[in-house]
Amino acid sequence: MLDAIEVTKQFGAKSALDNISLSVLPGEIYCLLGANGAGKTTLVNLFLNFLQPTSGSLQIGKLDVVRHPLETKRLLAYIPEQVTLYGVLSGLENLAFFSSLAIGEHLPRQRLLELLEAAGLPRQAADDRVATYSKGMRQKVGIAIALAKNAKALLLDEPTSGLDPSAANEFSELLVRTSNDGVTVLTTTHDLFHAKQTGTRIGIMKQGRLVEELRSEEVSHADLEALYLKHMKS
Amino acid sequence: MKTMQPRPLSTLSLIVLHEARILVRDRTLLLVCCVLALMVGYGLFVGLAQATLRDRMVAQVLKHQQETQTANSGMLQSVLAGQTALIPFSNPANPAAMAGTLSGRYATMPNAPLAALAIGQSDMMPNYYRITYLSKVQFMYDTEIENPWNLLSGHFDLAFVIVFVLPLLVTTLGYNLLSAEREHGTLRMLCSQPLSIATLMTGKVIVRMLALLAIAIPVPLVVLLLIRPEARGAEQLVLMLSWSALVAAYTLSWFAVAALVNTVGLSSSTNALIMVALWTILVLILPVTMNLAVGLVSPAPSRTELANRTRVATAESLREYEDLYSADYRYASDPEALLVKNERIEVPSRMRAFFLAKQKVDERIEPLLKHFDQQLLQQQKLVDRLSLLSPAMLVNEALTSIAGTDSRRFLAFKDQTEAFHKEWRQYFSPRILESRAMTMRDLSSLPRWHWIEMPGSEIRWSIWWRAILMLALASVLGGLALARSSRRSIE
Repeated sequence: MLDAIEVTKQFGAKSALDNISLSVLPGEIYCLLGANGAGKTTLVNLFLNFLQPTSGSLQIGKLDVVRHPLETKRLLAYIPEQVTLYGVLSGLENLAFFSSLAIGEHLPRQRLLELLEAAGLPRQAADDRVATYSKGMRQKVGIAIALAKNAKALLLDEPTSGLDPSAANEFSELLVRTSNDGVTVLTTTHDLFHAKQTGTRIGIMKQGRLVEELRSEEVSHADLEALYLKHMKS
Repeated sequence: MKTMQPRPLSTLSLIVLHEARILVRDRTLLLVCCVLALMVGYGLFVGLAQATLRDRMVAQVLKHQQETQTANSGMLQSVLAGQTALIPFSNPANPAAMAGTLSGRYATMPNAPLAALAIGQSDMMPNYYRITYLSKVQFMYDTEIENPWNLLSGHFDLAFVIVFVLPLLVTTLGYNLLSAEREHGTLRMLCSQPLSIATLMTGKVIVRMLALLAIAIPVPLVVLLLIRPEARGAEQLVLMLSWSALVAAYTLSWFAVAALVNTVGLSSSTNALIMVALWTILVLILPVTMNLAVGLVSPAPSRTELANRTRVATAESLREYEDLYSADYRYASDPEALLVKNERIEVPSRMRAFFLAKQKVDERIEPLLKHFDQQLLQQQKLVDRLSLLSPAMLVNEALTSIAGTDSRRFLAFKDQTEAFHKEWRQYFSPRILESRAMTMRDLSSLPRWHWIEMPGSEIRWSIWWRAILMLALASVLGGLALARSSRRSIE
């Protein structure tokens, strides 16, 4: 469903991604681990066509993201590390706008409230202006937007970084439920525990390269940590 | 999962509605629209006041002309009946007196129906001349002659609001079209949806442009239709349509500039600086530079030279007829000499000399005046060509054409006045030279002034090519902005 084929991305002389190839199958949760600057977010940005690859290609559902930017975005939902919304609008209004943009139709208020509730936002906060929201609350509106889209693939860039442990756990459960419905998930994270707990496959990136790729049931928490540290120190 | 079909129109309408809501919520739009409404209102008020003043001036001189005509008619009847004492220089039976001080006609140019839309040169150029047998140098060239661009500045009228203020308000609303979304982080959220930056930018421009144009276009036109009945004709409606198209194209071109600047990917503050710099260059510096260029390439006619040559020509002409100036004192002791006999009258030699001398002055000065007018015409042509370089100049020219306050209409008025002055002299010349007394029939058949309006097709053409040029400029800039936006990375 998500395919990066021999992708290289250079910013001037600096190589952010170096001939990376990876493939995420339908129903898989692929967790990308790596230190800051390893190229995880760059890869996500390339899938979103926010950046164009220097060489290689990226495909979503066999469609090239550069040649078919709008079609591929219809298949995708994206939750960034920091969900930024319109502060002068309420959470409900933000969800209504982004979901209309995503699916091309207006969802009824009741459905929007259900989505916010499913994402974990308290119902009484739905009509408050987003400017008054905490980072975690904005993140939950972001999740609701992704849910509203009912996409075939989810791109998540450190989605739990702003969430409290309980909310992060709920989010992980939500992710698993979503993947069980056949949705493909590619998520970047620094959280080894989260990666092991939710991921079906784990990739470790270093300096723009995919240095390790393994199935999460093949390793324990401790082994994953040791492997990660080994790659980071080498 | 249902398959979505591309729905660009509905995406665009979503963006338009969303932008409208955001701009209303943060009150930016309200503030900018209030400022524009105030300025449009004041600019229109100034234009209406100026047009009303000129209407009154024309009405007053025509009333004065009518009163003089009635008084002269009564006086002539009385003189012909021998009931009034004869005064040499105020005798209505004397054609030289009627051609000069006693009568005279006013050549008037009425306001164009849409005059309130732009003051243009109407507060610098006269809209009436008093026609007598005097030299035209005395009544037509006694105002300061300036380069047309000098005449264009200095009014806070509606044209000023459109040409100078509107681009600043476009800058206020458009400097951060994309940069604000990028800086707030919402651009990533937006662009992760099936939405192109071109659609996003188009939606943003539509909302802002509609908000500004909803005030700038209908308010003046509705006020004009309500206040000035002469603005309600079919021809005027076409001109109003042209005016609307021109204002819309000018606004669109500034929004296109803002969109283009936003595609560079700089910060909002840098974008604002660039926009203000562009405004300063295109609206202020370029016209001034072109003014200097026009002055250098085609210098303004020398007013001093004209004055000196006129003085010399007058002195020479007066000298030519000086022997006729000495015989008038006998009328004091012999008033009977001024009586009309067999439809003949003795035209006092001083008056005859004056008439001939003034005619001679015009003959002598004619080549210089032609050269003078030629220079002005060359300047105007140069201004027309150079105006292509600045949208502000281009639009200003078209706005004044629509309002009928442009230099071409005033030049047409001047030409018609010259022709009428000639006709006036030709009417009186045989009467003065052959000593034919004025009759009641003569008085009612004096040459009459008729203003011939410039052909509508000529005005429409001069407006439409400018509007089309503005629209083309907006399309090119907008196209460039959209093309750049489709190639730009979000990061």
